[in-house]
Amino acid sequence: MIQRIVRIAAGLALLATSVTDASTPFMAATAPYTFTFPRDYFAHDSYRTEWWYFTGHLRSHDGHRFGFELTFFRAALRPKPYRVTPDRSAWRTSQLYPAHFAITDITDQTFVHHEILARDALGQGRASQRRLDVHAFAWSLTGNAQREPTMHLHARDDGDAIDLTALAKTPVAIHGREGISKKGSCATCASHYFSFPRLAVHGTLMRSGKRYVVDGLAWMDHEFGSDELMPNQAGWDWFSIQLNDGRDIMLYRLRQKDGTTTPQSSGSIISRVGAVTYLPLHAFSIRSTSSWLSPHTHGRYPSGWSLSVDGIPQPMSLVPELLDQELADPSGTSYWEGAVAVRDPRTGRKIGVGYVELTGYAGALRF
Amino acid sequence: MLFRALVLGYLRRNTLRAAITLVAVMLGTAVAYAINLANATSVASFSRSVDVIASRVNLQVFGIGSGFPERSLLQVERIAGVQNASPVIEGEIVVGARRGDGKSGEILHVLGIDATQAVLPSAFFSAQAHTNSPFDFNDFINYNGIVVSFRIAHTYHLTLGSQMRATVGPRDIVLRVMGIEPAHGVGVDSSVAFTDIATAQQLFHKVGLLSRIDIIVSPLRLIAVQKELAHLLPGARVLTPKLRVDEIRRMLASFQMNLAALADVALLVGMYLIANAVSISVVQRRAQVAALRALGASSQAIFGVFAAEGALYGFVGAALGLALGALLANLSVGAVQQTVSTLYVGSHADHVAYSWPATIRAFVLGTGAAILAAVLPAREAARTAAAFALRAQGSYERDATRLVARATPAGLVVLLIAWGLARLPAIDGMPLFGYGSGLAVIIGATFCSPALVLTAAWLLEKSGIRGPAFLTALAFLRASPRRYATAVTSLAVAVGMAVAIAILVASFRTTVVEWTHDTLGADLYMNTPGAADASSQGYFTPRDVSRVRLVKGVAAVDTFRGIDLVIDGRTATLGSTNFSSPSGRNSLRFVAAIDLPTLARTMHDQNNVVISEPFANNFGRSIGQFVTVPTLHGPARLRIIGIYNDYSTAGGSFIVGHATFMRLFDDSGVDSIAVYAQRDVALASLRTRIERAIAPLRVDINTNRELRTFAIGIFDRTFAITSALYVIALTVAMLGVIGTLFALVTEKRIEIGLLRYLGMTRSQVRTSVLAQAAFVGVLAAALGIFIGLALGALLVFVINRQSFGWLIAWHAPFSIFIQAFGMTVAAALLAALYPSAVASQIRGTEVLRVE
Repeated sequence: MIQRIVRIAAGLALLATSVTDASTPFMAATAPYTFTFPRDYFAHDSYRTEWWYFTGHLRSHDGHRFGFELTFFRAALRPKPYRVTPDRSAWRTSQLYPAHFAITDITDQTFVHHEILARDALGQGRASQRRLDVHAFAWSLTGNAQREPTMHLHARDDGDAIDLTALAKTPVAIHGREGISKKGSCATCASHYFSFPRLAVHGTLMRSGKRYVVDGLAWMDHEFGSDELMPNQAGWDWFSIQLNDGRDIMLYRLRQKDGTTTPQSSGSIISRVGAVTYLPLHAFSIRSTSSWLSPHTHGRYPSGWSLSVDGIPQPMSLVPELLDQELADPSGTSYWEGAVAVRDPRTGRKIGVGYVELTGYAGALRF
Repeated sequence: MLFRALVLGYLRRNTLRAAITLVAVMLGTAVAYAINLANATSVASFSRSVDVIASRVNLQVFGIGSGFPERSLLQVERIAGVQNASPVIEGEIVVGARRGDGKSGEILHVLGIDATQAVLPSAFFSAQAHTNSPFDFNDFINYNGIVVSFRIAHTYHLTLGSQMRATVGPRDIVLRVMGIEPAHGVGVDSSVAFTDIATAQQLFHKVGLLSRIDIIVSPLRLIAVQKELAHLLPGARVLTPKLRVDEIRRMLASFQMNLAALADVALLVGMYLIANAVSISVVQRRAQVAALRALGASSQAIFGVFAAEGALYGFVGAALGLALGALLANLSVGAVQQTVSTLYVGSHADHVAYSWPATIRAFVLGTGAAILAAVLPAREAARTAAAFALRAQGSYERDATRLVARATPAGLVVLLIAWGLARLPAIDGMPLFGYGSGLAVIIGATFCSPALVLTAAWLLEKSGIRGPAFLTALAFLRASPRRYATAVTSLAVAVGMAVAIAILVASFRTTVVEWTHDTLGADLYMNTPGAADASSQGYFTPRDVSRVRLVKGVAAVDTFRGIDLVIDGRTATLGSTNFSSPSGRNSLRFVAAIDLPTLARTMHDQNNVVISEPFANNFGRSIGQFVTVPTLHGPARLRIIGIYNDYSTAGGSFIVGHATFMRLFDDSGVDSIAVYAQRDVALASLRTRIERAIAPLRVDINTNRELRTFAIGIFDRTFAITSALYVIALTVAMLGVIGTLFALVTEKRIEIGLLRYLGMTRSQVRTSVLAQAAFVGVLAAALGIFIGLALGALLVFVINRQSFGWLIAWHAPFSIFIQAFGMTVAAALLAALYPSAVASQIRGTEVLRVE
């Protein structure tokens, strides 16, 4: 969702309402939009913001369980790159590349996160518009140019690292209607948003210097657009769910400052074979069942939900694998992004896995 | 018990004298402490700006001249063990400059850093906190954003988002204020400002270059990484921040040691006062002491009591001195800073850096000096025999003749030692023997002073001058020659210091004036505004120079460019100029050279170099030898073919031809341009034409006379603090004279009372005291001028030469001595006013009744 990057970026102190030259506007995400693949896997520099968002559940050969998040953001300061001239510094920047990396050690009940920020100078960061090639310093996402690409993920900081190969098991799933995913009432409050809801991943994970050979299931979001949240929006809750029966669900709920939910909030159900069903706000309900007080930011987050979705007969309850999965940033905006177990509340049986993202709970988001 | 009986009670009865002594110790300690703090502060403010970007940085790589290629950063990042490498561009901008006044405005040190990297000064986040809006990286990176200190924002009325006008060299720039460091937040020098590296590269014409890289290395790999860096970037310097600060410290060491030595003189004068005070109290309590001895007190106990009295003065005086010193430091830090940034490194200290070593040093020196000063009189007291109590007061002074017989030869020997010490070389660039020699001069003069007093008294007696006041004065003098000798010496030491400094300044100033006359031969000099005390950056381009050359009325131009290089661990300035100046007027003044035609021919493009005298001295080089300099292409060996006079740098300078410089450093920038006018061209209109031709660049154009005046102005500012110091030493000495005379008056109460009873008038008593003061003043002036000549010679020929390598011609105008003489006698008389008034109040009848 476009808001996600904007908010996180705002927290990182990257973007502001006045960031760009008024003379050269960014493209807005407007309907109708027809995706072309593999082109749309790559970067879209004429939009203000973009990200490639990976979350997933991994298991090592000896049964150690992990969750991971690896996200590459692109935040444009201007729609066109600077022309190279002898008296212009190569450090003048048109694109920033923040990246976040987190590991949830479900077995040991620990959580660690890292972030870096690269700019398009001296090869610090890049996102190609011609192939799947995104770099922020040594962290990278690369892939071949097939419609269901094989992708490679790499990130490392201190003793924590992942090196994963991801293979799409379902076709690409496009969210929203007519190629746009609406985020608010304004005409351009939208993004272009698609997912690979089911990626088979395998590779290695390192936690505090200890190396594990892992495999598992991951989810990838790719979203790009130019418009920011409206001033009356306070944050959002986002859910990705991979059910054991092969179906996947994506839901997002935008929260307004007055406590209501933005009517354009929506979701998707993706069938075993990749067919996408659009879910308007009235087609699902999300109720939080518990809360957690962050010792880092003193923000109070919801923690545990019960979910009902039209078209999925059984109710679902989402239980965090670990309470503290907050990416706390003392100098920016903090958010919670964590692995959850999906259970049948009637039997307690585990019926799937998921990831939840919660923003706007730890201090006001700044624009 | 003994202490309470002998000392405390006595002090209670003599509060005024005790207070004077305390003030003397306090002043001495305060000055020594203040100067040490000011010195420490100038180093501290520099070292803070070194590690400002990240406190964990443990290695810094510095480029030569304008820097090294930014691509090197990628190679540096790849070295194993490098955890973080932050690129930095350093430069200077001037804010608040008025048009047409090239010396106005304030210099800000700009650090251009990679603003998107994690290792950021907290300033960036406080910028956010102010506005509750996110930090706008686009504005900061792409639209010349700057973060300034609260002081700068306040002084120049800048708020967040406002435009900040400034100049870089001759060019006007506009920056956008995007952050204001809180006044007490970051601990960064308030003259430091931050921009993104992109902004800094463009502002300072360093696109594609880096000034330095700050590196965080895992400590285990430190040595290995240093080696790899040296290999990777030939010519660059690889230093730990500590080494870098040490480098600055070493550069400032001579200057600071000179200041510290001067400051300690005040303490030395204070020592004489304590010796005096304790010896007076010994004399006055002689009867008590003898009685105590008769009752069985050991001589050690007596010694201990009086030594303790000195220590008491020391402790209390030093403690008060620390408080006063802290206050003085706050006032003087600006003056020291001024000199330091004029001569050495630009920095701005907002707060005095209090340091434990400086505090402890001052306290120990203060109390130590006091105890040491009390030892001699205490020993005298300890020697007092019980039978002595029966004898008349003051009779111990009769031993003075014996003392003179012993002390005078000793004094002469010490003076001889002083002469010997002056001939010894410096140790590690520090004229330690020179200072030792100075101390020996003072000690020698001290030993000789009782003889001087007695001889003078004897001469006066033979002079035939008569009159009751005069005879009384003479009798008192002869009765206590040692007391007077102490007063004379303490005043003489202060006067000597003043004379010596006056001689040094006069000699130095005359030498510099002559030198500027000989070497500044062009008609106009063009500099960038603020360049007077900023490090030069080569802001004029060759195109600017040719524009000047084409101006009507210009006969020729010379250019100069200088960069700082580190050779053998010390900084020196390498200049480049064209040696084929058409008129030959803008010449260097050579003190030694191979034949000049050959020099002129081979300097232009061969690897030949001429060195300044301080350079020759500091680096121990002479004609025919080589200097190896780091360059972008690795080390280059330059042959020395000439040595010239120079007083513009303390570290030493050396000069190569333009073509050589270009070849070695690929740097075509120009710091200053010297313009030769055609015959009969009015300089004022030529200046206007040049300004017009080079607009919109801002330039500071001076005629050679203006430049000379400016140079002398810098010189005078540099010595301002020196003059302030001797005023303080003189004040302390005056306190000494008051103390001595006051003690004498108290001691001689009975005699004075008797004289009054016998018919002496009040004014005769007053005149008598004033005559004693005049005697002290005249002798102190004579002795002081002797000390001054000796110390002056030491400063000019030994200490200055050894610390800075400056060869100075002796210049001691007679007026210095006249002034010293007049001031000393006046000071002595002034000091005598109160004691003489007290003496004249003594009533004969009252005293006799007591007796």
